[in-house]
Amino acid sequence: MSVINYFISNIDNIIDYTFAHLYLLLISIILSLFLWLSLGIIIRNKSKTAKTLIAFGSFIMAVPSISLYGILMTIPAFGLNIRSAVFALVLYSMIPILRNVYTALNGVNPAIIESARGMGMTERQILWKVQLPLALPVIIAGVRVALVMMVGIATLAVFIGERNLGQLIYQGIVRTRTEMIITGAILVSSISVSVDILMGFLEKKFLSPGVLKSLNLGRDQ
Amino acid sequence: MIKLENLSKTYQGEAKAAVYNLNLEVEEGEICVFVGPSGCGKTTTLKMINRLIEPSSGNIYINGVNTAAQKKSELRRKIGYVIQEIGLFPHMTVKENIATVPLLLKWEQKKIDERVMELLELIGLDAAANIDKYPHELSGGQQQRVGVARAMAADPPIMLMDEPFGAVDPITRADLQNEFLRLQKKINKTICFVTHDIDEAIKMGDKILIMNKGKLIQYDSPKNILSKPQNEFVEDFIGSDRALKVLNLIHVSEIMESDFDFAVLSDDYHSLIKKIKQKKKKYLLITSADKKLAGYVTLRSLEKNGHKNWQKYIKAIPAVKKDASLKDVFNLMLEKEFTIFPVVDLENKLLGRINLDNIKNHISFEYQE
Repeated sequence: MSVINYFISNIDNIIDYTFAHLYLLLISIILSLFLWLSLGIIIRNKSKTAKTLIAFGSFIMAVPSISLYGILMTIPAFGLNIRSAVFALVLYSMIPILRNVYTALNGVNPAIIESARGMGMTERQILWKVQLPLALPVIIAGVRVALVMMVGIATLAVFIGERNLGQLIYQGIVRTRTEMIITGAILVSSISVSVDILMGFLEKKFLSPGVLKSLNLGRDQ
Repeated sequence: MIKLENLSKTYQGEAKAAVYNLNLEVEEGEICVFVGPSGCGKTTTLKMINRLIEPSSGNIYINGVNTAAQKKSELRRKIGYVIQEIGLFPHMTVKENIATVPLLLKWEQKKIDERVMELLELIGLDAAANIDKYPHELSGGQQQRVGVARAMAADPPIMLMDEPFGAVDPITRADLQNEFLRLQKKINKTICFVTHDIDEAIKMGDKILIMNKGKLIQYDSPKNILSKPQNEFVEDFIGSDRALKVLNLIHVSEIMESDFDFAVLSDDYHSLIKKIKQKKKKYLLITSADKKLAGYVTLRSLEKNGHKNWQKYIKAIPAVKKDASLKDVFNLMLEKEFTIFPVVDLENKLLGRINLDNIKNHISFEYQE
Protein backbone atom coordinates (compact mmCIF):
# COMPACT_ATOMS: atom_id res chain seq x y z
CA MET A 1 0.00 0.00 0.00
CA SER A 2 2.78 2.38 0.93
CA VAL A 3 4.18 2.05 -2.61
CA ILE A 4 0.88 3.26 -4.08
CA ASN A 5 0.63 6.06 -1.55
CA TYR A 6 4.17 7.12 -2.27
CA PHE A 7 3.49 6.96 -5.99
CA ILE A 8 0.36 9.12 -5.74
CA SER A 9 1.81 11.75 -3.43
CA ASN A 10 5.02 12.10 -5.47
CA ILE A 11 3.51 11.75 -8.90
CA ASP A 12 5.01 15.01 -10.19
CA ASN A 13 8.55 14.08 -9.22
CA ILE A 14 8.13 10.58 -10.57
CA ILE A 15 6.93 11.88 -13.93
CA ASP A 16 9.93 14.22 -14.10
CA TYR A 17 12.31 11.40 -13.26
CA THR A 18 10.71 9.13 -15.86
CA PHE A 19 10.99 11.74 -18.56
CA ALA A 20 14.61 12.44 -17.63
CA HIS A 21 15.29 8.72 -17.83
CA LEU A 22 13.59 8.37 -21.20
CA TYR A 23 15.30 11.48 -22.53
CA LEU A 24 18.75 10.16 -21.61
CA LEU A 25 17.89 6.82 -23.17
CA LEU A 26 16.48 8.32 -26.34
CA ILE A 27 19.56 10.41 -27.04
CA SER A 28 21.91 7.53 -26.23
CA ILE A 29 19.94 5.03 -28.32
CA ILE A 30 19.81 7.28 -31.36
CA LEU A 31 23.53 8.01 -31.11
CA SER A 32 24.43 4.33 -30.47
CA LEU A 33 22.37 3.02 -33.36
CA PHE A 34 23.71 5.59 -35.77
CA LEU A 35 27.30 5.21 -34.64
CA TRP A 36 27.64 1.46 -34.20
CA LEU A 37 25.44 0.34 -37.08
CA SER A 38 27.30 2.51 -39.55
CA LEU A 39 30.69 1.66 -38.07
CA GLY A 40 29.82 -2.04 -38.24
CA ILE A 41 28.92 -1.68 -41.92
CA ILE A 42 32.09 0.31 -42.64
CA ILE A 43 34.41 -2.23 -41.02
CA ARG A 44 32.63 -5.30 -42.44
CA ASN A 45 35.50 -6.08 -44.81
CA LYS A 46 38.31 -4.86 -42.55
CA SER A 47 38.97 -7.73 -40.21
CA LYS A 48 42.00 -6.17 -38.48
CA THR A 49 40.20 -2.92 -37.62
CA ALA A 50 37.16 -4.91 -36.56
CA LYS A 51 39.16 -7.08 -34.19
CA THR A 52 40.81 -4.06 -32.58
CA LEU A 53 37.51 -2.25 -32.12
CA ILE A 54 35.77 -5.30 -30.74
CA ALA A 55 38.64 -5.86 -28.28
CA PHE A 56 38.31 -2.22 -27.18
CA GLY A 57 34.55 -2.62 -26.76
CA SER A 58 35.00 -5.76 -24.67
CA PHE A 59 37.45 -3.88 -22.47
CA ILE A 60 34.88 -1.12 -21.91
CA MET A 61 32.31 -3.75 -21.01
CA ALA A 62 34.68 -5.02 -18.33
CA VAL A 63 34.91 -1.60 -16.66
CA PRO A 64 32.26 -1.32 -13.93
CA SER A 65 29.75 1.31 -14.98
CA ILE A 66 30.06 3.32 -11.79
CA SER A 67 33.79 3.76 -12.28
CA LEU A 68 33.33 4.62 -15.94
CA TYR A 69 30.93 7.40 -14.95
CA GLY A 70 33.49 8.48 -12.38
CA ILE A 71 36.29 8.64 -14.89
CA LEU A 72 34.23 10.53 -17.46
CA MET A 73 33.21 13.03 -14.78
CA THR A 74 36.82 14.06 -14.29
CA ILE A 75 37.29 14.85 -17.98
CA PRO A 76 36.74 18.62 -18.44
CA ALA A 77 34.60 18.40 -21.57
CA PHE A 78 32.19 15.98 -19.90
CA GLY A 79 31.99 16.69 -16.17
CA LEU A 80 28.78 16.49 -14.12
CA ASN A 81 26.64 16.60 -17.20
CA ILE A 82 24.24 14.58 -19.28
CA ARG A 83 27.08 14.36 -21.82
CA SER A 84 29.01 12.02 -19.52
CA ALA A 85 25.96 9.83 -19.05
CA VAL A 86 25.22 9.66 -22.79
CA PHE A 87 28.83 8.95 -23.60
CA ALA A 88 29.00 6.09 -21.12
CA LEU A 89 25.78 4.53 -22.40
CA VAL A 90 26.91 4.78 -26.00
CA LEU A 91 30.22 3.10 -25.10
CA TYR A 92 28.44 0.25 -23.33
CA SER A 93 26.20 -0.43 -26.31
CA MET A 94 29.24 -0.73 -28.58
CA ILE A 95 29.98 -4.40 -28.09
CA PRO A 96 26.52 -5.92 -28.51
CA ILE A 97 25.69 -3.82 -31.57
CA LEU A 98 29.03 -3.48 -33.36
CA ARG A 99 30.05 -7.08 -32.82
CA ASN A 100 26.72 -8.43 -34.00
CA VAL A 101 26.65 -6.23 -37.10
CA TYR A 102 30.18 -7.30 -38.02
CA THR A 103 29.67 -11.02 -37.39
CA ALA A 104 26.24 -11.11 -38.99
CA LEU A 105 27.35 -9.37 -42.19
CA ASN A 106 30.33 -11.69 -42.44
CA GLY A 107 28.24 -14.72 -41.58
CA VAL A 108 26.14 -14.50 -44.76
CA ASN A 109 26.75 -17.58 -46.90
CA PRO A 110 29.53 -16.68 -49.40
CA ALA A 111 27.72 -18.61 -52.16
CA ILE A 112 24.77 -16.22 -51.84
CA ILE A 113 27.06 -13.21 -52.11
CA GLU A 114 28.87 -14.73 -55.07
CA SER A 115 25.66 -15.37 -56.95
CA ALA A 116 24.51 -11.81 -56.19
CA ARG A 117 27.78 -10.45 -57.54
CA GLY A 118 27.66 -12.81 -60.51
CA MET A 119 24.22 -11.50 -61.45
CA GLY A 120 25.55 -7.98 -61.63
CA MET A 121 24.64 -6.42 -58.30
CA THR A 122 26.96 -3.60 -57.28
CA GLU A 123 28.68 -3.88 -53.88
CA ARG A 124 26.17 -1.39 -52.48
CA GLN A 125 23.21 -3.39 -53.83
CA ILE A 126 24.69 -6.57 -52.35
CA LEU A 127 24.90 -4.84 -48.96
CA TRP A 128 21.37 -3.43 -48.95
CA LYS A 129 19.46 -6.11 -50.82
CA VAL A 130 21.22 -9.24 -49.66
CA GLN A 131 23.63 -8.93 -46.75
CA LEU A 132 21.64 -6.63 -44.46
CA PRO A 133 18.27 -8.42 -44.80
CA LEU A 134 19.99 -11.73 -44.07
CA ALA A 135 22.04 -10.31 -41.18
CA LEU A 136 19.06 -8.54 -39.63
CA PRO A 137 18.01 -11.21 -37.10
CA VAL A 138 21.46 -11.21 -35.49
CA ILE A 139 21.73 -7.42 -35.64
CA ILE A 140 18.32 -6.98 -34.02
CA ALA A 141 19.26 -9.46 -31.30
CA GLY A 142 22.35 -7.36 -30.54
CA VAL A 143 20.40 -4.11 -30.48
CA ARG A 144 17.85 -5.70 -28.19
CA VAL A 145 20.50 -6.72 -25.66
CA ALA A 146 22.14 -3.29 -25.87
CA LEU A 147 18.90 -1.39 -25.28
CA VAL A 148 17.77 -3.43 -22.30
CA MET A 149 21.23 -3.04 -20.78
CA MET A 150 21.19 0.72 -21.34
CA VAL A 151 17.90 1.10 -19.47
CA GLY A 152 19.53 -0.45 -16.41
CA ILE A 153 22.86 1.32 -16.60
CA ALA A 154 21.08 4.66 -17.06
CA THR A 155 19.89 4.45 -13.42
CA LEU A 156 23.49 4.67 -12.22
CA ALA A 157 23.88 8.02 -13.93
CA VAL A 158 22.38 9.58 -10.76
CA PHE A 159 25.89 9.48 -9.34
CA ILE A 160 27.02 12.04 -11.87
CA GLY A 161 24.12 14.38 -11.39
CA GLU A 162 21.37 12.89 -13.55
CA ARG A 163 17.96 13.17 -11.87
CA ASN A 164 16.20 10.13 -13.28
CA LEU A 165 14.51 6.98 -11.95
CA GLY A 166 17.86 5.95 -10.47
CA GLN A 167 17.28 8.83 -8.04
CA LEU A 168 14.30 6.98 -6.50
CA ILE A 169 16.35 3.84 -5.99
CA TYR A 170 19.45 5.65 -4.72
CA GLN A 171 17.50 7.89 -2.33
CA GLY A 172 15.44 4.91 -1.23
CA ILE A 173 18.59 3.06 -0.26
CA VAL A 174 20.15 6.03 1.52
CA ARG A 175 16.96 6.80 3.47
CA THR A 176 15.90 3.15 3.83
CA ARG A 177 12.57 3.93 2.19
CA THR A 178 11.55 0.57 0.65
CA GLU A 179 8.54 2.06 -1.16
CA MET A 180 10.86 4.43 -3.06
CA ILE A 181 13.16 1.59 -4.09
CA ILE A 182 10.25 -0.55 -5.23
CA THR A 183 8.62 2.29 -7.18
CA GLY A 184 11.91 3.01 -8.96
CA ALA A 185 12.60 -0.65 -9.63
CA ILE A 186 9.12 -1.27 -11.04
CA LEU A 187 9.34 1.71 -13.39
CA VAL A 188 12.83 0.86 -14.62
CA SER A 189 11.87 -2.74 -15.26
CA SER A 190 8.68 -1.66 -17.06
CA ILE A 191 10.77 0.44 -19.41
CA SER A 192 13.09 -2.53 -19.99
CA VAL A 193 10.25 -4.88 -20.71
CA SER A 194 8.53 -2.36 -23.01
CA VAL A 195 11.73 -1.87 -24.97
CA ASP A 196 12.11 -5.63 -25.27
CA ILE A 197 8.53 -6.08 -26.45
CA LEU A 198 8.90 -3.24 -28.95
CA MET A 199 12.03 -4.84 -30.38
CA GLY A 200 10.26 -8.20 -30.66
CA PHE A 201 7.50 -6.47 -32.60
CA LEU A 202 9.96 -4.76 -34.92
CA GLU A 203 11.74 -8.06 -35.48
CA LYS A 204 8.52 -9.70 -36.65
CA LYS A 205 7.63 -6.73 -38.80
CA PHE A 206 10.92 -6.27 -40.59
CA LEU A 207 12.28 -9.77 -40.99
CA SER A 208 11.44 -11.64 -44.17
CA PRO A 209 9.29 -14.72 -43.51
CA GLY A 210 11.89 -16.64 -45.52
CA VAL A 211 14.60 -15.73 -43.02
CA LEU A 212 12.37 -16.26 -40.00
CA LYS A 213 11.20 -19.65 -41.18
CA SER A 214 14.65 -20.87 -42.05
CA LEU A 215 15.79 -19.75 -38.58
CA ASN A 216 12.98 -21.71 -36.97
CA LEU A 217 13.89 -24.74 -39.02
CA GLY A 218 17.44 -24.47 -37.76
CA ARG A 219 16.19 -24.39 -34.20
CA ASP A 220 14.08 -27.52 -34.61
CA GLN A 221 16.91 -29.63 -35.92
CA MET B 1 30.70 -15.53 -79.63
CA ILE B 2 33.09 -15.89 -76.70
CA LYS B 3 36.77 -15.61 -77.48
CA LEU B 4 39.57 -16.07 -74.98
CA GLU B 5 42.90 -14.73 -76.16
CA ASN B 6 46.23 -15.57 -74.49
CA LEU B 7 44.38 -15.65 -71.20
CA SER B 8 46.51 -16.13 -68.06
CA LYS B 9 45.88 -15.82 -64.37
CA THR B 10 48.42 -16.02 -61.58
CA TYR B 11 46.99 -15.57 -58.10
CA GLN B 12 48.81 -13.23 -55.80
CA GLY B 13 51.54 -14.95 -53.82
CA GLU B 14 51.58 -18.00 -56.04
CA ALA B 15 54.45 -18.98 -58.30
CA LYS B 16 52.52 -21.11 -60.77
CA ALA B 17 49.84 -19.77 -63.04
CA ALA B 18 46.32 -21.05 -62.36
CA VAL B 19 45.53 -20.55 -66.03
CA TYR B 20 48.28 -20.24 -68.60
CA ASN B 21 48.01 -18.74 -72.08
CA LEU B 22 44.59 -20.07 -72.91
CA ASN B 23 43.11 -19.54 -76.37
CA LEU B 24 39.60 -20.62 -77.04
CA GLU B 25 36.57 -19.79 -79.10
CA VAL B 26 33.07 -20.83 -78.11
CA GLU B 27 30.54 -20.75 -80.95
CA GLU B 28 27.10 -19.25 -80.57
CA GLY B 29 24.46 -21.68 -79.33
CA GLU B 30 26.98 -24.28 -78.18
CA ILE B 31 27.50 -25.86 -74.80
CA CYS B 32 31.22 -25.84 -74.08
CA VAL B 33 32.14 -27.97 -71.08
CA PHE B 34 35.32 -27.16 -69.15
CA VAL B 35 36.55 -30.34 -67.54
CA GLY B 36 39.66 -31.45 -65.72
CA PRO B 37 40.97 -32.55 -62.33
CA SER B 38 40.55 -30.16 -59.42
CA GLY B 39 42.95 -27.24 -59.55
CA CYS B 40 43.23 -27.41 -63.34
CA GLY B 41 41.97 -23.85 -63.74
CA LYS B 42 38.53 -24.57 -65.17
CA THR B 43 36.59 -22.55 -62.58
CA THR B 44 39.14 -19.73 -62.73
CA THR B 45 38.68 -19.61 -66.50
CA LEU B 46 34.89 -19.52 -66.14
CA LYS B 47 34.98 -16.73 -63.57
CA MET B 48 37.27 -14.64 -65.73
CA ILE B 49 34.54 -14.53 -68.36
CA ASN B 50 32.19 -12.54 -66.10
CA ARG B 51 35.13 -10.90 -64.35
CA LEU B 52 34.49 -12.35 -60.91
CA ILE B 53 38.21 -13.01 -61.30
CA GLU B 54 40.32 -10.51 -63.22
CA PRO B 55 42.82 -12.01 -65.70
CA SER B 56 46.51 -11.29 -65.11
CA SER B 57 46.98 -10.96 -68.85
CA GLY B 58 45.14 -11.67 -72.07
CA ASN B 59 41.74 -10.64 -73.33
CA ILE B 60 38.20 -11.90 -73.44
CA TYR B 61 35.88 -10.83 -76.22
CA ILE B 62 32.14 -11.34 -76.26
CA ASN B 63 30.73 -10.70 -79.73
CA GLY B 64 33.95 -8.91 -80.50
CA VAL B 65 33.72 -6.52 -77.54
CA ASN B 66 36.50 -6.68 -74.98
CA THR B 67 34.96 -7.41 -71.57
CA ALA B 68 37.62 -5.35 -69.82
CA ALA B 69 36.16 -2.24 -71.45
CA GLN B 70 32.73 -2.76 -69.85
CA LYS B 71 31.47 -1.98 -66.39
CA LYS B 72 31.60 -5.20 -64.36
CA SER B 73 28.04 -5.04 -63.07
CA GLU B 74 26.63 -4.25 -66.51
CA LEU B 75 28.65 -7.03 -68.13
CA ARG B 76 27.37 -9.55 -65.58
CA ARG B 77 23.73 -8.62 -66.09
CA LYS B 78 24.09 -9.85 -69.65
CA ILE B 79 25.59 -13.18 -68.59
CA GLY B 80 23.55 -15.78 -66.71
CA TYR B 81 25.40 -17.33 -63.77
CA VAL B 82 24.57 -20.59 -62.01
CA ILE B 83 26.71 -22.12 -59.27
CA GLN B 84 26.74 -25.46 -57.51
CA GLU B 85 25.55 -24.01 -54.20
CA ILE B 86 22.72 -22.33 -56.15
CA GLY B 87 22.88 -19.25 -53.94
CA LEU B 88 19.17 -18.46 -53.98
CA PHE B 89 18.33 -15.55 -51.69
CA PRO B 90 16.67 -17.12 -48.62
CA HIS B 91 14.79 -13.92 -47.75
CA MET B 92 13.14 -13.66 -51.15
CA THR B 93 10.33 -15.68 -52.67
CA VAL B 94 10.76 -17.74 -55.81
CA LYS B 95 9.29 -14.86 -57.78
CA GLU B 96 11.56 -12.24 -56.22
CA ASN B 97 14.58 -14.45 -56.76
CA ILE B 98 13.83 -14.92 -60.44
CA ALA B 99 13.09 -11.20 -60.85
CA THR B 100 16.52 -10.18 -59.52
CA VAL B 101 18.25 -9.23 -62.77
CA PRO B 102 15.13 -7.76 -64.47
CA LEU B 103 14.79 -5.50 -61.41
CA LEU B 104 18.44 -4.48 -61.68
CA LEU B 105 17.75 -3.66 -65.32
CA LYS B 106 14.69 -1.66 -64.23
CA TRP B 107 12.13 -3.55 -66.27
CA GLU B 108 8.47 -2.60 -65.88
CA GLN B 109 6.66 -4.63 -63.25
CA LYS B 110 4.20 -6.07 -65.78
CA LYS B 111 6.98 -7.32 -68.01
CA ILE B 112 8.72 -8.86 -64.99
CA ASP B 113 5.54 -10.67 -63.90
CA GLU B 114 5.04 -12.10 -67.37
CA ARG B 115 8.67 -13.19 -67.62
CA VAL B 116 8.54 -14.95 -64.24
CA MET B 117 5.46 -16.92 -65.29
CA GLU B 118 7.06 -17.81 -68.59
CA LEU B 119 10.22 -19.07 -66.88
CA LEU B 120 8.35 -21.12 -64.30
CA GLU B 121 6.51 -22.78 -67.14
CA LEU B 122 9.79 -23.37 -68.99
CA ILE B 123 11.46 -25.07 -66.01
CA GLY B 124 8.31 -27.07 -65.27
CA LEU B 125 7.51 -25.66 -61.85
CA ASP B 126 3.85 -25.16 -61.04
CA ALA B 127 3.52 -21.39 -60.79
CA ALA B 128 0.46 -21.16 -58.58
CA ALA B 129 1.88 -23.55 -55.98
CA ASN B 130 5.44 -22.27 -55.89
CA ILE B 131 5.67 -18.64 -56.89
CA ASP B 132 5.35 -17.29 -53.34
CA LYS B 133 7.38 -20.00 -51.65
CA TYR B 134 10.73 -19.31 -50.04
CA PRO B 135 13.77 -21.30 -51.17
CA HIS B 136 13.94 -23.48 -48.05
CA GLU B 137 10.45 -24.78 -48.84
CA LEU B 138 11.65 -26.27 -52.14
CA SER B 139 13.47 -29.55 -52.77
CA GLY B 140 17.08 -29.52 -53.94
CA GLY B 141 16.08 -30.20 -57.53
CA GLN B 142 13.43 -27.48 -57.49
CA GLN B 143 15.92 -25.01 -56.02
CA GLN B 144 18.38 -25.78 -58.81
CA ARG B 145 15.63 -25.25 -61.42
CA VAL B 146 14.79 -21.89 -59.87
CA GLY B 147 18.51 -21.09 -59.92
CA VAL B 148 18.60 -21.77 -63.65
CA ALA B 149 15.42 -19.73 -64.20
CA ARG B 150 16.93 -16.84 -62.24
CA ALA B 151 20.05 -16.94 -64.41
CA MET B 152 17.92 -16.88 -67.58
CA ALA B 153 15.55 -14.18 -66.36
CA ALA B 154 16.79 -11.30 -68.47
CA ASP B 155 17.33 -13.64 -71.41
CA PRO B 156 21.13 -13.32 -71.49
CA PRO B 157 22.72 -14.76 -74.64
CA ILE B 158 25.43 -16.38 -72.53
CA MET B 159 25.21 -18.59 -69.46
CA LEU B 160 28.05 -19.63 -67.17
CA MET B 161 27.37 -22.72 -65.10
CA ASP B 162 29.80 -23.85 -62.40
CA GLU B 163 29.06 -27.50 -61.54
CA PRO B 164 25.36 -26.63 -61.55
CA PHE B 165 24.16 -30.17 -60.92
CA GLY B 166 26.94 -31.19 -58.54
CA ALA B 167 25.02 -30.93 -55.29
CA VAL B 168 22.00 -33.10 -56.04
CA ASP B 169 21.54 -36.87 -55.88
CA PRO B 170 22.41 -38.90 -59.00
CA ILE B 171 18.80 -39.49 -60.07
CA THR B 172 17.82 -35.85 -59.76
CA ARG B 173 21.05 -34.94 -61.53
CA ALA B 174 20.22 -37.11 -64.54
CA ASP B 175 16.72 -35.56 -64.61
CA LEU B 176 18.10 -32.04 -64.45
CA GLN B 177 20.66 -32.79 -67.15
CA ASN B 178 18.05 -34.19 -69.53
CA GLU B 179 15.69 -31.34 -68.76
CA PHE B 180 18.43 -28.81 -69.36
CA LEU B 181 19.38 -30.36 -72.68
CA ARG B 182 15.72 -30.22 -73.78
CA LEU B 183 15.55 -26.63 -72.58
CA GLN B 184 18.74 -25.71 -74.44
CA LYS B 185 17.16 -26.89 -77.68
CA LYS B 186 14.48 -24.25 -77.17
CA ILE B 187 16.58 -21.39 -75.81
CA ASN B 188 19.78 -21.97 -77.75
CA LYS B 189 22.15 -20.12 -75.41
CA THR B 190 25.91 -20.05 -75.58
CA ILE B 191 26.92 -21.92 -72.47
CA CYS B 192 30.17 -22.48 -70.61
CA PHE B 193 29.73 -25.34 -68.20
CA VAL B 194 32.27 -26.45 -65.59
CA THR B 195 32.35 -29.98 -64.25
CA HIS B 196 34.90 -32.46 -62.95
CA ASP B 197 32.77 -35.37 -64.14
CA ILE B 198 33.82 -36.57 -67.60
CA ASP B 199 30.54 -38.44 -68.06
CA GLU B 200 28.61 -35.24 -67.50
CA ALA B 201 30.94 -33.45 -69.91
CA ILE B 202 30.33 -36.05 -72.62
CA LYS B 203 26.60 -35.92 -72.06
CA MET B 204 26.18 -32.16 -71.93
CA GLY B 205 28.89 -30.83 -74.22
CA ASP B 206 28.81 -29.86 -77.88
CA LYS B 207 32.49 -29.20 -77.29
CA ILE B 208 34.70 -30.27 -74.43
CA LEU B 209 37.70 -28.36 -73.18
CA ILE B 210 40.03 -30.61 -71.22
CA MET B 211 42.40 -28.71 -68.95
CA ASN B 212 45.27 -29.73 -66.73
CA LYS B 213 47.54 -27.55 -64.59
CA GLY B 214 46.13 -24.39 -66.12
CA LYS B 215 46.71 -25.41 -69.72
CA LEU B 216 44.44 -26.43 -72.54
CA ILE B 217 45.07 -30.07 -73.35
CA GLN B 218 42.37 -30.82 -75.89
CA TYR B 219 39.39 -28.88 -77.23
CA ASP B 220 37.10 -30.90 -79.42
CA SER B 221 33.71 -32.55 -79.80
CA PRO B 222 32.93 -35.35 -77.32
CA LYS B 223 33.05 -37.90 -80.11
CA ASN B 224 36.54 -36.88 -81.23
CA ILE B 225 37.80 -36.72 -77.70
CA LEU B 226 36.62 -40.26 -77.10
CA SER B 227 37.84 -41.65 -80.41
CA LYS B 228 41.03 -39.58 -80.77
CA PRO B 229 42.37 -38.63 -77.37
CA GLN B 230 45.26 -36.22 -77.80
CA ASN B 231 47.63 -37.79 -75.30
CA GLU B 232 47.95 -40.12 -72.38
CA PHE B 233 46.51 -37.61 -69.94
CA VAL B 234 43.28 -37.36 -71.88
CA GLU B 235 43.15 -41.12 -72.26
CA ASP B 236 43.56 -41.59 -68.51
CA PHE B 237 41.10 -38.86 -67.76
CA ILE B 238 38.30 -40.26 -69.89
CA GLY B 239 38.98 -43.69 -68.44
CA SER B 240 39.45 -47.17 -69.81
CA ASP B 241 35.77 -47.52 -70.64
CA ARG B 242 35.76 -44.95 -73.40
CA ALA B 243 34.20 -47.38 -75.86
CA LEU B 244 31.28 -47.67 -73.46
CA LYS B 245 31.14 -43.91 -73.08
CA VAL B 246 30.62 -43.56 -76.81
CA LEU B 247 27.28 -45.22 -76.18
CA ASN B 248 26.25 -42.14 -74.24
CA LEU B 249 26.70 -40.04 -77.34
CA ILE B 250 24.63 -42.02 -79.77
CA HIS B 251 20.90 -41.56 -79.69
CA VAL B 252 18.42 -44.24 -80.52
CA SER B 253 16.88 -42.15 -83.30
CA GLU B 254 20.21 -42.16 -85.18
CA ILE B 255 20.42 -45.90 -85.63
CA MET B 256 16.91 -47.28 -85.26
CA GLU B 257 15.29 -49.11 -88.16
CA SER B 258 12.29 -47.18 -89.28
CA ASP B 259 11.40 -49.62 -92.03
CA PHE B 260 9.69 -52.51 -90.26
CA ASP B 261 6.39 -54.34 -90.01
CA PHE B 262 3.61 -53.79 -87.59
CA ALA B 263 -0.12 -54.35 -87.40
CA VAL B 264 -3.00 -52.18 -86.28
CA LEU B 265 -5.57 -53.06 -83.63
CA SER B 266 -8.35 -52.99 -86.20
CA ASP B 267 -6.72 -55.61 -88.48
CA ASP B 268 -8.63 -58.86 -88.76
CA TYR B 269 -7.17 -62.14 -87.60
CA HIS B 270 -6.55 -63.73 -90.97
CA SER B 271 -4.70 -60.88 -92.56
CA LEU B 272 -2.65 -60.60 -89.38
CA ILE B 273 -1.60 -64.27 -89.52
CA LYS B 274 -0.88 -63.92 -93.22
CA LYS B 275 1.30 -60.91 -92.59
CA ILE B 276 3.33 -62.67 -89.93
CA LYS B 277 3.82 -65.83 -91.95
CA GLN B 278 4.66 -63.98 -95.12
CA LYS B 279 7.51 -62.19 -93.40
CA LYS B 280 8.59 -65.36 -91.61
CA LYS B 281 8.28 -63.69 -88.24
CA LYS B 282 7.42 -65.09 -84.89
CA TYR B 283 5.76 -61.95 -83.61
CA LEU B 284 4.48 -58.53 -84.65
CA LEU B 285 4.20 -55.11 -83.01
CA ILE B 286 0.70 -53.72 -82.68
CA THR B 287 -0.33 -50.07 -82.65
CA SER B 288 -3.61 -48.26 -82.32
CA ALA B 289 -5.10 -46.41 -85.28
CA ASP B 290 -3.14 -43.25 -84.41
CA LYS B 291 0.12 -45.24 -84.33
CA LYS B 292 0.38 -45.36 -80.55
CA LEU B 293 2.21 -48.48 -79.37
CA ALA B 294 -0.13 -51.11 -77.92
CA GLY B 295 2.20 -54.11 -77.51
CA TYR B 296 3.04 -57.23 -79.48
CA VAL B 297 1.52 -60.60 -80.37
CA THR B 298 3.35 -63.89 -81.02
CA LEU B 299 2.39 -66.24 -83.77
CA ARG B 300 2.29 -69.11 -81.31
CA SER B 301 -0.23 -67.55 -78.97
CA LEU B 302 -2.38 -66.45 -81.90
CA GLU B 303 -2.50 -69.95 -83.36
CA LYS B 304 -3.10 -71.57 -80.00
CA ASN B 305 -5.94 -69.28 -79.01
CA GLY B 306 -7.82 -69.14 -82.28
CA HIS B 307 -9.12 -66.17 -84.12
CA LYS B 308 -11.69 -64.63 -81.82
CA ASN B 309 -10.68 -61.36 -80.20
CA TRP B 310 -7.02 -61.75 -80.99
CA GLN B 311 -6.51 -58.31 -79.41
CA LYS B 312 -6.86 -60.01 -76.01
CA TYR B 313 -3.50 -61.71 -76.50
CA ILE B 314 -1.48 -58.55 -76.96
CA LYS B 315 1.42 -58.48 -74.55
CA ALA B 316 3.10 -55.38 -73.21
CA ILE B 317 6.60 -54.58 -74.37
CA PRO B 318 8.98 -51.99 -72.88
CA ALA B 319 9.72 -49.17 -75.33
CA VAL B 320 12.62 -46.74 -75.57
CA LYS B 321 12.24 -43.02 -76.25
CA LYS B 322 13.82 -41.74 -79.43
CA ASP B 323 16.17 -39.38 -77.57
CA ALA B 324 17.45 -42.09 -75.22
CA SER B 325 21.13 -42.99 -75.55
CA LEU B 326 22.44 -46.40 -76.49
CA LYS B 327 23.62 -46.74 -72.91
CA ASP B 328 19.99 -46.49 -71.80
CA VAL B 329 19.09 -49.18 -74.32
CA PHE B 330 21.76 -51.53 -72.98
CA ASN B 331 20.54 -50.89 -69.49
CA LEU B 332 17.03 -51.81 -70.52
CA MET B 333 18.22 -54.91 -72.35
CA LEU B 334 19.96 -56.22 -69.24
CA GLU B 335 17.07 -55.26 -67.01
CA LYS B 336 14.15 -56.56 -69.08
CA GLU B 337 15.92 -59.41 -70.88
CA PHE B 338 14.70 -58.28 -74.28
CA THR B 339 17.12 -57.80 -77.17
CA ILE B 340 14.81 -55.75 -79.31
CA PHE B 341 12.76 -52.71 -78.44
CA PRO B 342 10.20 -50.56 -80.19
CA VAL B 343 11.21 -46.88 -80.37
CA VAL B 344 8.56 -44.29 -79.55
CA ASP B 345 8.38 -40.51 -79.37
CA LEU B 346 7.33 -38.51 -76.32
CA GLU B 347 3.65 -39.24 -77.11
CA ASN B 348 4.23 -43.00 -77.30
CA LYS B 349 3.87 -43.06 -81.08
CA LEU B 350 5.78 -45.90 -82.72
CA LEU B 351 8.72 -44.66 -84.79
CA GLY B 352 10.93 -47.70 -85.29
CA ARG B 353 12.75 -50.45 -83.56
CA ILE B 354 16.24 -51.14 -82.34
CA ASN B 355 18.09 -54.36 -81.59
CA LEU B 356 21.52 -55.56 -80.60
CA ASP B 357 22.63 -56.01 -84.20
CA ASN B 358 21.83 -52.38 -85.05
CA ILE B 359 24.04 -51.25 -82.21
CA LYS B 360 26.84 -53.65 -83.07
CA ASN B 361 26.85 -52.65 -86.73
CA HIS B 362 26.79 -48.99 -85.91
CA ILE B 363 29.67 -49.12 -83.47
CA SER B 364 31.92 -51.22 -85.71
CA PHE B 365 31.08 -48.83 -88.54
CA GLU B 366 31.97 -45.82 -86.39
CA TYR B 367 35.33 -47.23 -85.45
CA GLN B 368 36.26 -48.21 -88.99
CA GLU B 369 35.94 -44.60 -90.04
